[in-house]
Amino acid sequence: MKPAAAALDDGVPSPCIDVCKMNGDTGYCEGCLRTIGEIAGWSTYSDCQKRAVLERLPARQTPC
Amino acid sequence: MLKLPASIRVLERGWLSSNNVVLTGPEDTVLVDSGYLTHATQTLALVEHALADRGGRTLDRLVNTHCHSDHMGGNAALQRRYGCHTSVPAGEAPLIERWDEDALLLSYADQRAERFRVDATLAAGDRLRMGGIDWVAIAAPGHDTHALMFHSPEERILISGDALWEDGFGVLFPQLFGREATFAETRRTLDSIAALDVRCVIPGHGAPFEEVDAALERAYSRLHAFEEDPARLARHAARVMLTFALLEKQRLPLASLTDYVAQTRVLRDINQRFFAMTPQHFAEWIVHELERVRAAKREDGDLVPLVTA
Repeated sequence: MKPAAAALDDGVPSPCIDVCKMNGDTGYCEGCLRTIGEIAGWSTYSDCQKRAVLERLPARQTPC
Repeated sequence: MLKLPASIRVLERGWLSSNNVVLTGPEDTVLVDSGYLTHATQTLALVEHALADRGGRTLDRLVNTHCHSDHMGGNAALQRRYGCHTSVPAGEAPLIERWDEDALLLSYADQRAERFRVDATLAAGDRLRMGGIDWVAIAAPGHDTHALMFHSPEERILISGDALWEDGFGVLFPQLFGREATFAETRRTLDSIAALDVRCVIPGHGAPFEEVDAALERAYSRLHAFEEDPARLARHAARVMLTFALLEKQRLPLASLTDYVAQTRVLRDINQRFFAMTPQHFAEWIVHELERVRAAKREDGDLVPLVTA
């Protein structure tokens, strides 16, 4: 196993940072901020759909 | 965009957990590889989601490409939840049955897994049906001497485990620990893949990919570089082992690293066999290396992983 370098092709890299723990309150992963559906569906998404998910993530960060 | 048959769902994970492949056939649903122990709750949630997506199926069978911690860590939890029939490669079964923490690179490498039940074994040449598709098990020695890959001639898909990624393959541990045939075995595994009709590889880590020839070319090139300079393999292994620990723990105090590399036996052994540095120098060297390859950075007195470039 090794940390992901930038994708070799044009593909949109997964935002996983190996925390992999769902937050029961928010429904988002505490590491990558995706929903379970978004994580499970990731490999079926087009690059366009993946980018759309990534764009949604910053807004999900809970302010301290 | 990559198109897989509807019966195959790849749950793409990170590096601490392997990918999990859910195959839903008319008769049953199979999972290939179950991620790392500390992610088992997440793995179960993802598998449950994938099963619900396929009309509320249960998980009938579980298969491992090989029994490293990041591929078998969810096995026990999945067995508890679903009672799934579990198969491992035949060569790994004795290690699992006696739970050999050294040979399985568990406490030997400061990694963890939960003991699980083996119901059956798989051998190279075995035919299995997963997701309504016929697969053949293919020997994939190298990173793991007893690993298997699964090839569908009809769909032209290869579930490769850690034998081939888009850029590289899993650390060639057996070579480091004295199995001199490892480089040759790795080459033969790559040759086996090259001889197959494959349009899509589902790797153990990273996204599924279709540029198989290019991936093989990179893999052969990496193998050649290791063959030319075995110390290079040792340096690579040391980086990977510490990076794994960082991904699991999310941070390690810099002040703890000298003791860490002295006490974690895989790192101690790699150092003694290849570098003969003091633990302090070895720790400093690995930190510098991880910074150089952008796998880690220093933050507030800790070493933290950098997973994205």
